Amino acid sequence: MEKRILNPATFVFRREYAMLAVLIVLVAAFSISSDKFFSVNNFLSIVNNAAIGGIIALGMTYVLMIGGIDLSVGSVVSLTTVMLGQFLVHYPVDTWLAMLIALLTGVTVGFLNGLLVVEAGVPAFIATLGMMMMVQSVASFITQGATTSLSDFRTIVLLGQGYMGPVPIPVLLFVIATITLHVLLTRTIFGVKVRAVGGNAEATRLMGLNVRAIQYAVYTMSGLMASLAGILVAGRLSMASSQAGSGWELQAITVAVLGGTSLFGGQGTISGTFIGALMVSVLFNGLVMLGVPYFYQLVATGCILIAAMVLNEFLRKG
Amino acid sequence: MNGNDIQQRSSGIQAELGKPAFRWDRREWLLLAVVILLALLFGLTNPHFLTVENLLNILNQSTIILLVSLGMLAVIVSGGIDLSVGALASLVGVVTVVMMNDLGIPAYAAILLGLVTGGFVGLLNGFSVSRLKIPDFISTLAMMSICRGAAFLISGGYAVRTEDRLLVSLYNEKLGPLTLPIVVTAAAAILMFLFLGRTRPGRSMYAVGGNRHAALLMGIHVQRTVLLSYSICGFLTAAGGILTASRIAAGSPTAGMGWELTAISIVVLGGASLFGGQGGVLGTVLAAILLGMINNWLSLTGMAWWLQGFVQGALLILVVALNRRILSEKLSSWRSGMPASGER
Amino acid sequence: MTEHVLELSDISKSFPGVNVLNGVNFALRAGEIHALLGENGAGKSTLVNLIGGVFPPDAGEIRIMGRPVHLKGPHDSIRNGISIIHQELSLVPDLSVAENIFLGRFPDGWVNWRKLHRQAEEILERIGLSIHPGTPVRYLSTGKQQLVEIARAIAFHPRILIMDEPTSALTEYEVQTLFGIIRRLSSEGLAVIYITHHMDEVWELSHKVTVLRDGRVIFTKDIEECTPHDIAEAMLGHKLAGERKRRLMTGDTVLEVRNLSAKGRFRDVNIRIAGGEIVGIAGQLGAGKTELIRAIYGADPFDAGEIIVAGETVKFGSPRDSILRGMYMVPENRKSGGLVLDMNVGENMTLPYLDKISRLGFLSQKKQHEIVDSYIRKLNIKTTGADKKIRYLSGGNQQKVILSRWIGMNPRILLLDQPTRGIDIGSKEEIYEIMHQLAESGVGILFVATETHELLRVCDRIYVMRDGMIVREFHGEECTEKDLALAMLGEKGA
Repeated sequence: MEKRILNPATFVFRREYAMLAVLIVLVAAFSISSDKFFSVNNFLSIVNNAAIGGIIALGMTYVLMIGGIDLSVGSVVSLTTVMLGQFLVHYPVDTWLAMLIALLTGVTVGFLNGLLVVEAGVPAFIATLGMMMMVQSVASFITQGATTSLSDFRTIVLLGQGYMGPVPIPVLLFVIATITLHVLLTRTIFGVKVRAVGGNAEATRLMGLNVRAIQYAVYTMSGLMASLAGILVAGRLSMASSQAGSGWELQAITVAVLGGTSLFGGQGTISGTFIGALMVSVLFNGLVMLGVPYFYQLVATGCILIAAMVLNEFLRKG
Repeated sequence: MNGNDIQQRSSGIQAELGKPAFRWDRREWLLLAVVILLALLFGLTNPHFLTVENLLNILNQSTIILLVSLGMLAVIVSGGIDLSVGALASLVGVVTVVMMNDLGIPAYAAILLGLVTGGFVGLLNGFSVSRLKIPDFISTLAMMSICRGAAFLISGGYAVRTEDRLLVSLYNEKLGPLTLPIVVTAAAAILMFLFLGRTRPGRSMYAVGGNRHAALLMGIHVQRTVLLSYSICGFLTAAGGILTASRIAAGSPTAGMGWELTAISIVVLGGASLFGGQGGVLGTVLAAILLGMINNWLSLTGMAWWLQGFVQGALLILVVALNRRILSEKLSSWRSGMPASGER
Repeated sequence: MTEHVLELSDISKSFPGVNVLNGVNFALRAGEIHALLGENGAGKSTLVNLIGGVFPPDAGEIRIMGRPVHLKGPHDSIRNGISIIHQELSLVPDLSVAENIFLGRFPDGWVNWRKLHRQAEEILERIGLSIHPGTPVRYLSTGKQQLVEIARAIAFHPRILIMDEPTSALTEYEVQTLFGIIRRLSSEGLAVIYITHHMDEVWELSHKVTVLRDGRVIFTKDIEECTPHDIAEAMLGHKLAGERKRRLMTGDTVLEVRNLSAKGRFRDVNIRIAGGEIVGIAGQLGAGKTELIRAIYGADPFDAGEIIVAGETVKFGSPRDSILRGMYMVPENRKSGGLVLDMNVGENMTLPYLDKISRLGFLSQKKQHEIVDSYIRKLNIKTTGADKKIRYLSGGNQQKVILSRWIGMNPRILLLDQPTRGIDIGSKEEIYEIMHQLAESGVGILFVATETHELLRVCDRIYVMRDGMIVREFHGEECTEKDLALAMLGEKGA
């Protein structure tokens, strides 16, 4: 039995507390240096900006936890907005039906990813990379490069830009998604199975569990989250565009990793991802408040990521 | 005794007869066959395709991404990955042009410094991966942000024009029937071929990627090998970035978007495994040419530009999926003779 | 007088919680072929790793050519003329034969292929292997790969060569070739430490024999001075064999295996187990016991034969099929095959039957805790509770968690693959008791043991496996340890 100086039973919690502490420090620092920072409006704005990327990151967390990866989420966002454009403007159907179709695209892409990984044995990186290219080109094909305005569709716009009382709807959806996926992971048998597959897929198989089904489920869910985010993007931009989703996949992975999810599988929490999403948003928001040019923000994100990983390594060695 | 398949046995016998075994299932053959097949097909459907001018055009268009892919090859063979290449190329372009414009540094020196910058950033990547033990995915992802941000910062957010004759002429300079980019890329390919194929540090990269533990036990400097692979990648990426700056006559902070994923696709198509230890220059070159051909034909025939992405993605998945079938059979016969699982 | 090439004085080594080597003394002369024998866990690998410089001893001295050395790593050991061929092949599959031979020792600068290949050919000739040195190792048969490993090991004229189970992948012909090579090299002065479980090899090849047991040297003798009986006895030791009422096959047959074969793993295996019987499988390392168990369970496929569970034929099963029929397996390596280390005790225990303790998909923590607590009490599992992360339990308690898991699912048949490996004595006894009780209640148990005395303690019948086949079947009463040992090891002897 190994002896450890830090009791690693609390390690997972420790990491989240550490990230939470970092978040609080950031908030404090920014509040001091800019009086516009510490306001309810601004905080709502921060969470609002974190919402869309955060929803994608939630799905990505599950995928990373079973040792996989999903590079196709950005393209799913794009395709989702495009689908909305198609079925609201060009071949109009009922708004809710259009949204359902949009969600189904994500589910389908996710399922196809699962198919490639489970049945064809293609490494997740390659499978989702190839899928990303294909989905993106399908989106470009449908739009022929043109964007479609969706500003006439109140429901969509409301979803992306509307409020329920003081709370922006994307924030609401993000929080609901976080709670749902958190409960799913920690209290349902599905969640236990996901953590089992991520921790030791072979032992899980030997115990008779259906590892393949879990893999399918996780990839499909990632696709679903991406298309949910896509609807919100369409609402926020009031537009359907084949470029709407570019870059979101790496953003989502960054957020998940910042939140403590391991790229190798087996470790990760939804609450960690939530904190990670907030952290990134706080950083961007704070820097903007300070008048720091956009470009420094990119540099800052990179540095924070490296710092977080070094901290992670340090904590692990105990 | 154990499950040797016929191929293995015949190649083993041939090997005993004093010749290295001839393999028909190597990726290079598949790629070559596809290239030839498509060339004929494309030529039939479009008379303009098989002209010398167009073929040279294909080569020319493939040069920059091929340079970057050759760098990526070194990293992937060693078992790593580099997501920062696109951003780095952009950064180098910007830095080079800005040095000439704002610091008055002569072109040839600026180019040299640009290359050094690339190698240096590559070194930083390697350091982060091998010393700081940060997973390569995250490390180079972070570097990508940093480089992109730096490129925006230094350029002020817009493409920085240059009219320097030397720099601008690089891309279009002709050496005989070939352009400078083609010559440079060909030279790089040959050098990488020799490096990976014949030098100790090059072969060490395969060892580190193929069986890291064994490499360590055999006294190979794993960290040094990894550092070198990332530095080479940074250097070749920088070359790509400079040629790009030459092509658009500017240092652009938005250049290089998506290059990393394309380069990875090319290297994997060319036979490399993301786990390391496999792949080669020949396959990478053929894969780059293949993609270049497809893109070229698509634009020639006025087919939608969006198809490029589709074909690339489908091709990547197909080739990897098919190869895994063949590979897993080999793997099972490699393992079937091994001692009983875990009993010690 | 030839001095000793290698001497180990009073070597001890411990790992957290386990004392692996204790006061080991060992000496090796130039030109000597010295066999090192011992059961699993006796300490052979640790000893080899010590000599190889992978880690330092806790106590004691290593002397090479009379001078004490402190090996700082594998490269240091190599520098001192020690060459090790490990059990797992450590070749790089995509590099050529020549490159693998020279890996880590390439001449500086540009590689001259022609010269390298010529040098490689010379080395290959020394061991009689005629392969083109440019062939990527991936394409060679396993036997040839083994020979390439040997080529690499002798390439730079080592003083000492250590070989760990070198013949496991070789054909008869290749084994003889290998022996010829070893004899020739030893006559040229090379000292060889040869680890094997094949007794006939020991007699054919070695000059001296050392037997390790529980981290201690039992004896070191010249080969002429011992008999297979001596060696078997030394390896097994005189351990207490407790009494158990022997059962005759009374209950219904719960498991029947007919002519089961899997290429490269085992052949024509026939086994029967009745409810309430504890049937053991004895065999040395590499005999195929784990492969057989896994195939019966459905974890790995098999090529031919039938598995019949409670009267139903299972064709190409899977773990899930076995579980549905009430047949469960406790795998050989509990950490990699039986537990999810990041999860807690409760989760590991209840993972296969979560749906029984949940409602609408939501896990009932209360029910789970009830079940887990009851087993913690019943099996005396030492843990602070169901929430403790399983990786912090001792091996014995981890194993009890795995057993609880299956017991909670009303087993018909239990396949136990070395359930007492690496476990303290106290827990071992508890596990034997659990097995007894399970058998009393009608469960059929197939038991692969780590140490042969265990088989005699708990089993009603014992099958002996060797080289993938069942070679003998003993009934508990008519069997002694020596019978077992001889059947397992093969009887060719002095």
